[in-house]
Amino acid sequence: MQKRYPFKFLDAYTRADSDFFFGRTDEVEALYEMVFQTDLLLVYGASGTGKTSLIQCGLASKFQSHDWLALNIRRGGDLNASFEKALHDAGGTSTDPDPEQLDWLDDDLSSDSPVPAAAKSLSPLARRFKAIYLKHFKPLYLIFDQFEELYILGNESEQKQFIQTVREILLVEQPVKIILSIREEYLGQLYTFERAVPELLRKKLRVEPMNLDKVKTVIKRVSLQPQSIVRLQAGEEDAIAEGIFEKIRGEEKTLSIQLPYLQVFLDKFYLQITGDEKREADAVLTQAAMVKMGDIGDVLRNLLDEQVLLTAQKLDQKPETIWRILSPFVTLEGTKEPLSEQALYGRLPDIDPLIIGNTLQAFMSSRILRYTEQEQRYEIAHDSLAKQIHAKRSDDEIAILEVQRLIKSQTALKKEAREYFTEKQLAFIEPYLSKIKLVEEEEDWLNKSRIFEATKKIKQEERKAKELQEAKARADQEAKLREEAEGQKKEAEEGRKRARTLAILAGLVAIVAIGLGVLAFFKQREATVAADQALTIVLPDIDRNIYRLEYDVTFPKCQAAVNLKARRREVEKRIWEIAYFYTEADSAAAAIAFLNLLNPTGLSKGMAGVQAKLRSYLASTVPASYLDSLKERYYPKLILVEGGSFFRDDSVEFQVDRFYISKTEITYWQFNVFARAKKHHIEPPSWEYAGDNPAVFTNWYDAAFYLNWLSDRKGKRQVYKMTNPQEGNYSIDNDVEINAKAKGYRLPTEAEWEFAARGGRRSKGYEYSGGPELKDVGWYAENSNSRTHPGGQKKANELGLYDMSGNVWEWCQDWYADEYPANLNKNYSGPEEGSYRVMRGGSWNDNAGYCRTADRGNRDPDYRNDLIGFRLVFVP
Amino acid sequence: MPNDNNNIIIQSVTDNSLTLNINGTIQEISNQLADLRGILQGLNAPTVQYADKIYNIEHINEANFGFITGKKLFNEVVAKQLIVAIEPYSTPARIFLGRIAQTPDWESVQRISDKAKEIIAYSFVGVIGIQLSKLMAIGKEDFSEAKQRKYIEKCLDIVKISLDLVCFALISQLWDAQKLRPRPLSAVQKEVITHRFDGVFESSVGEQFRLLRVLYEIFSKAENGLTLPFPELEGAAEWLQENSNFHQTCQSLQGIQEKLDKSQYDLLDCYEAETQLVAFLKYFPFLANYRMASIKQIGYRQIRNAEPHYLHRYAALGIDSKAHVDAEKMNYTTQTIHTDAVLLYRGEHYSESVNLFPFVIDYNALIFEHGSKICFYRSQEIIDNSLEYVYLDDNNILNLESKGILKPDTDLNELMMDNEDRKTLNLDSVVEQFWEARRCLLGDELNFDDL
Repeated sequence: MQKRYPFKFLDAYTRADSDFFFGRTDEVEALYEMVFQTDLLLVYGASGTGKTSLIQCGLASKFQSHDWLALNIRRGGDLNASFEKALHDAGGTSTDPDPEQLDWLDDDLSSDSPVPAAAKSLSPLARRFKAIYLKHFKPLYLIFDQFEELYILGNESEQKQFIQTVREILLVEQPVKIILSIREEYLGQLYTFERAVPELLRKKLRVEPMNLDKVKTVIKRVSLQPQSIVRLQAGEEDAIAEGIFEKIRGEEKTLSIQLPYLQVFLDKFYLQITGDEKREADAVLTQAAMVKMGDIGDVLRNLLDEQVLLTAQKLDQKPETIWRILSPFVTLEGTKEPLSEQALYGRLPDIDPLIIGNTLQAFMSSRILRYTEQEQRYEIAHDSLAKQIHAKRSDDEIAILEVQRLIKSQTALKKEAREYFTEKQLAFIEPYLSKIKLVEEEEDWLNKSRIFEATKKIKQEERKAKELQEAKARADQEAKLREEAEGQKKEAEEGRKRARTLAILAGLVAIVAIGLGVLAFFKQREATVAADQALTIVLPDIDRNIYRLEYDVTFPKCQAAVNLKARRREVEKRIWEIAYFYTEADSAAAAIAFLNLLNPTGLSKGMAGVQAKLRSYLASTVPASYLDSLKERYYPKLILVEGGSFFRDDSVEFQVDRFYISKTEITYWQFNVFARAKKHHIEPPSWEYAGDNPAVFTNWYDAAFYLNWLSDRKGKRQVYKMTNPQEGNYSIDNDVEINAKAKGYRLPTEAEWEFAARGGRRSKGYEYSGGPELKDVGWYAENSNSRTHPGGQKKANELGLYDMSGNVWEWCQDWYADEYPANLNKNYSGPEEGSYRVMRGGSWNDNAGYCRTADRGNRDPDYRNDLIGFRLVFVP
Repeated sequence: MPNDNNNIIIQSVTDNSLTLNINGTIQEISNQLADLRGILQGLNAPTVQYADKIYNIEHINEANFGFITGKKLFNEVVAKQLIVAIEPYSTPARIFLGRIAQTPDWESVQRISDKAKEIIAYSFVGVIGIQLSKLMAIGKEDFSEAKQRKYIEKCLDIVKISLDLVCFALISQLWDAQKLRPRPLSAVQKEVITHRFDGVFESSVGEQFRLLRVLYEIFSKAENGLTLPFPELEGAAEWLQENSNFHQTCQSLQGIQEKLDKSQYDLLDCYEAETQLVAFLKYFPFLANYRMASIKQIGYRQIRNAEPHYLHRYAALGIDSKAHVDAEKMNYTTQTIHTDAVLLYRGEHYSESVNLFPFVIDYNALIFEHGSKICFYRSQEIIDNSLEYVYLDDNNILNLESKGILKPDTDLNELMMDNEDRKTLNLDSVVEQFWEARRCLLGDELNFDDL
């Protein structure tokens, strides 16, 4: 039997240390019971109560290895990124190329349907869990240790994303459980989390600090373990344990102690007796030796001071430099802040990276710093040490940290929620900029703040100049009046005196006028340059908002852009587009507000026929070519498909009459006009709204509502009669009647879709719509980077239609049936009834087979996900 | 005369070769049983050592040789043969087999084999599916002594749980029938059933076989007029005979259990256990068509002049069982159901099911917790006759004895106000129901109407 050192210093106990892990039987049992009663478990307690050890050693040891696949996840730089990485490392990557052509293994085999229903419905996250499960066949435990870091170091968007991820995890079908370990003083921060996930606090375990009885158990049981190299002097066990407890609780006389202190104390105690830094020598702890030990305060102080001094000597540096290198690892509140090596160099640009690297190594050896492979970061071994480092900081260091926090606190927010740094804040920040390294976004925001402040100053100067001019004018007027009065009174007798006064006044006025002229010239030139710079920032920002469908946040930006009085046409174009959007989305008031920024329109929001008047105003104001480009952006473009026929499987012939079909899938820009006008459901994909990408999360009914709206808008007849016209209320029971004779916009029949996809009469018989190689004509699993793409980027098919293979599945009008009838009528439009509607074309997430023009899919008509969109047809 | 003085060790194995240490001399041969045999025969050596275990060459054949040399992976036999066995009862298995029809040796392609394992584990009825997934997990672990033991243990666990499940379903059904109209049981039948109720040790596979045979005999006796809870068992009389193939499989498994108890197992026993497990489950492939559910809570709703309705909140039992309130399912129905029931049923819905309570319990349901903790009755405690249940997930024992919380003068309204008392009442009911079943089945009790 291999004997070994039983204490862990500042490291947590792991499964491998279970033979030395004592004093936690009750908590471990309770925790073990709870994991079978919930999928989301919260473990909380004060710092130093041993939460990590309880989970990673106590709980882990309760499971057999085949029942426990634990992913220990720390925040690192971003909790969501760390989670992604952990899944990737565990084998949960579903995007690996598949040289063996075994993609069908990902299919759901629970039904004979050619398009597997459930497999398609698995979320990307569920697919990753499934991949991990198939690799291990074990229940997965996601352990988020030191979860408080999300609130200490993370920002709101990181928190929101994580909460969303937890919600998704709770919905997946695979055996996955989540354990969150958090310091109890941060429980209050979970308010938003709990509102989104009410399960969060249902099952929770408080880890209590260790009292004397438990400390005795720990020390005595470790001593009794045959594989331990540490023993207690026989007969003195209780006295030694009590003595250690007293030394650790010091003068505070608390009823419990922190475990890291116990571990550090025991380690020091061992070293005092053996002097063996390798910790291999046998040791007997005695009461007499224990009495000679200082209390825990001395031990900790000495520990850090000693290490800092030793390192300083070894590296030939001042101790202050070493303290400075440790400082970034501690937050302003004195808690730990894990950092990557690169980030540390960035925080200490004035210290030689070699010295930083050597210091890291030295503190790693002394176990005051630890490195986590998973997050690739260094961190202080425990918060108890962090406090000491914090206490050593100079005012300058604290100021630098405050500056860093100030900058980060703004840049962590989404751009539309940020505020520019004030003049006072900039004055505080500037002196320290040489001592910190900013990332590009932080630099950018600082520059923007500077420009904003400069622009503000110019405006103030302009205002002052104007006030000065007005003052001068008033002075002139007063002088004139005085002159006249004086003239009337003393014209005769004081002619000589008046002449001299006038001469003096004229001279003064001339001087002021010349001064103001020069000032105005320079101010004007500076203002033009500043305005140009400001527009370089503002205009792309507005463009981004338009792309993300965030029209409502653009007003102040457009207002600012107009006030800058530069690049007039570029500013106008943005405002015209936004006004066009609002006009088409029946938001006349908003459209008028935007147009009034350029010129008063004379329109008011409540007036009769305002929509038509707005359109007429835009037609007369906006250049025709630009207005045409806006129409093409916000309304689909149609391509004529001449009638014809095609064969499926060489046996079934489909014949269709001529029809028009949209050139691309309906985009978010297009769908959003309708959604805004009708307050209809619209949902962003995980990659956020992108105006020129196909609108996804649209179910069959959404498409029908859109098409009816479009028919109304363009003066056509509605094709779909809703049995319950209340938008958003759709189910199989509340279906639609299709008026096949109505000349309005509708979804393509399956036959029309396939005929068009194959290239109509011009078909060259390609396997995919537009060519024999899918990568040239469509976005699919192997080239999509897991998202949709703008329509029209790949090669068009023979008819000039884009993306009929891949990008998104497209709804068709027909009910789905496995087989087609033997003899088909012309313009066959599917069975009379059914449970699923047809969808065709495959998506960005599918393998090539699903993107063939011949492949078929189906779904519940009320189903939405990020793989499905639609395009329209019109039969004149 | 074999020469035991030779010391032949397989030092390393690759796909193509074996590296042997023959009395200190290193020699490489091809990874073929014939070549190894040739070497051993040449030296007149009866044994070869591999990974601290000594194997008699007589016990090695072409089937298990690959297992020793790592050419055959753990669970390959399970994957290859069980997927075929469950095909008639599992759509995914049928589609899978259609897709791999043109892929010879698919079981050696890890991704395909994993898919087959997933289908098998997910197809089999909850409690067995979970155990099969554990077997898959063990099979995927790195080679070790512990792995061998765990693998054999898990094969035996699956056999015992399967037999228990089938026997408990038969006993439950018999209990309900006896309650309505007692049928006479023979002394032998009573003895075997009594042993299952009163045994103080875990039943052996042999004892479980015997119980199954007796129960089947009772059900198949025409004048008893009983219906089997598993129609698929019709015709099982043949394979439940002494010395039938099935009986021999059970005996082989019993033998493996004995080797395990004496720590006399090696890699060949892993292969043997897997092979016998597959042979065993081939008699119960229909369990891939069964599901289990635990009734968590029942609500009642009856509006004036309308039919009463019940709201069953239940948890489906299986690998993907979740442990939170949103994962529980609802069934709003006019159908009544037993409180605290653990149901076994065919197809997708439990409208026709066997209630396995109190032989199978969901401990978490009894203490008003989410998540399922399915425990099987194992034996009586030797000293105080309390009941020992085994929690299938970790094989830990749960001891239940009646606290007698419900007394003649108990104010039920008051009792129901106290959550802890209600839990105790639920746990007491497990014990009481167990004894009631025993009394009813073994004839210690008569219905009032039968007097």
